[in-house]
Amino acid sequence: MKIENAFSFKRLILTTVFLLLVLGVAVLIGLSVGSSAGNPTAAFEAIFSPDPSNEVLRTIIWRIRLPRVLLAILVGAALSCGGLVFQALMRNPLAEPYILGISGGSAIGAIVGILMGFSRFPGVGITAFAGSMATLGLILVMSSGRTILKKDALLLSGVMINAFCSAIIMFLLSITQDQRLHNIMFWLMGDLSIADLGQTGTLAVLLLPCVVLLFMLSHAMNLLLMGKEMAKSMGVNITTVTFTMLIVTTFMVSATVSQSGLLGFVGLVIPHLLRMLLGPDHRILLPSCVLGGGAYMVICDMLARTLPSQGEMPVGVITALIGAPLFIYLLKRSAS
Amino acid sequence: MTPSIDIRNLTIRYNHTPVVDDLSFRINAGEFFIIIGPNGSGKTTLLKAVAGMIPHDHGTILLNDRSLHRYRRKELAASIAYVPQNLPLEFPFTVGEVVLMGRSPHQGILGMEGEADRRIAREAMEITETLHLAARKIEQLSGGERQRVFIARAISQDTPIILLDEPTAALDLAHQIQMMDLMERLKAEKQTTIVMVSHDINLAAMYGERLLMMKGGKVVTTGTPAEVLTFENLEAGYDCVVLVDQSPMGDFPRVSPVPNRYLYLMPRKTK
Repeated sequence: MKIENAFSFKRLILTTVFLLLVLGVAVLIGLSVGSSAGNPTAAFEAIFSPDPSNEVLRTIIWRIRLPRVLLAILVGAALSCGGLVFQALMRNPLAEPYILGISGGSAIGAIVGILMGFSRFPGVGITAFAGSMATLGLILVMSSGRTILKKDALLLSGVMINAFCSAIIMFLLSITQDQRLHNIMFWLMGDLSIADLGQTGTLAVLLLPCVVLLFMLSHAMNLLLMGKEMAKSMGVNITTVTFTMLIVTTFMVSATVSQSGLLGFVGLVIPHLLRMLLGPDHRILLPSCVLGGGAYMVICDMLARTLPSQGEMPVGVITALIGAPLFIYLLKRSAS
Repeated sequence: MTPSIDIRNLTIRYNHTPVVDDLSFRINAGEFFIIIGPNGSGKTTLLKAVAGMIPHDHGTILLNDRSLHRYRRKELAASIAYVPQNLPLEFPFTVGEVVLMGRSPHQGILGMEGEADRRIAREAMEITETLHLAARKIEQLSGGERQRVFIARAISQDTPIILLDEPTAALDLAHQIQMMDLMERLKAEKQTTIVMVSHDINLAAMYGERLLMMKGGKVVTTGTPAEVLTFENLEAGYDCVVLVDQSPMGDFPRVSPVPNRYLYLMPRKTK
């Protein structure tokens, strides 16, 4: 009998190529569908043919839609990786940056930054990181020691941290009077419309080394699933690995939150979907989460732009509408 | 060369109470060493400390005359394999993948398996009779199968020392003997040092070259099975009346705990 093993270079390359294709298709759809100017076919032609009559549409596509699509890829990739890493680290299928309250913490930090008049980047990014590190610390203290593996304890502490964060956010909003209020509200619900190429590029440069680092730790994540003791006995330096992963993912989450606001459940939907399709090996799952999460977010953003609404729907509405029912389903399944 | 383990004045506390209390002993290279003692005597804690799982408060653990602290995690994992008492129940990987994971300390950071790794994992599964389970998921196994799979994983780790915490507890009679025979074979063929925590005193008597009896975190006695397993030691260690005689199979003691209804047969203890 052959030893079954889900991992091989060939499989890694095949899944990567396949998901790259998926992402490519999602990007094409994201670029050609939009609220303004023309039907998708016309947009499609405008992308591929340099016909001068399409000038307006081309400007819209390259100047407005492209930065937005790129930002969506980065945000989706970062949040999916965040979910995957937290799920491995806490050995809890329901762990996710938004549910744990880490996104909420970075939102507080970001709002404080906005109110203090910092620029979006790097000022707000730094305050967002500080906020998320504070909530991460709180989660680790609350669920420290033996209880860290307990699903309910972790979720309850996350719910409470989220409630606390919402209260602080509401407080901050109630003392804000001027025009910034609307901006903050809209951003809070998850919004990709402010994307510009420069900021998106900076974000990409920040996220890339994080993803590479996490990929290097992906085999350690496999071993961690066996429990801390077993992982240790197979040579995983638990303390270093855990701290690296926590800090790197928290950094990724806060960097994206400061750009795109609160987008819930992305880190739940994508890792679970990919795990069902591709199996449990993190060496395959991590790159897949980057590509699949990116594609998912592009599609969610496309839906937010095109579904009928007054003005524009925040993309956070879409991700929550898809993610929250899935969360309840997973909770029910893991309870039985 | 196979490393020896030297433990000097080891103390481990949980919430200020010493669980392992000023323990000193030595495990020789290539030895079959079995730690026995009643529940809560600190056996598991001691084993975890030797495996480098938990820190200790006082004393030193020397692996091949070098302090355990000075080993890098991966280097330690290439020297010591550890099979805990509580094995993971929920684990999404297959048996084959779990046994291959035992190769991690010998691989690069991404754990890419080569042909040699596959061959070693396969051999480990053959001798533990788990090869037919290779494609199954861990959560689909019975307790005994799971125990054998994690022993296969420890064997594929290919270390000079294997630590096992009550490896026979989940096994039926045939698999208990098979497991102990396997450990004896590893010791004979590869000079592997076997360190085992066991509740089964008769298995310990049959297979152990040297035993350590613990109680309350301290050493009651250490030595060959015949030296350790006297009724005086056992009654002092376990607080129960036992009958010790020679095994009909050979030169090792046989321990029978005495049920209450036969206590009248035993010579009375003088107070």
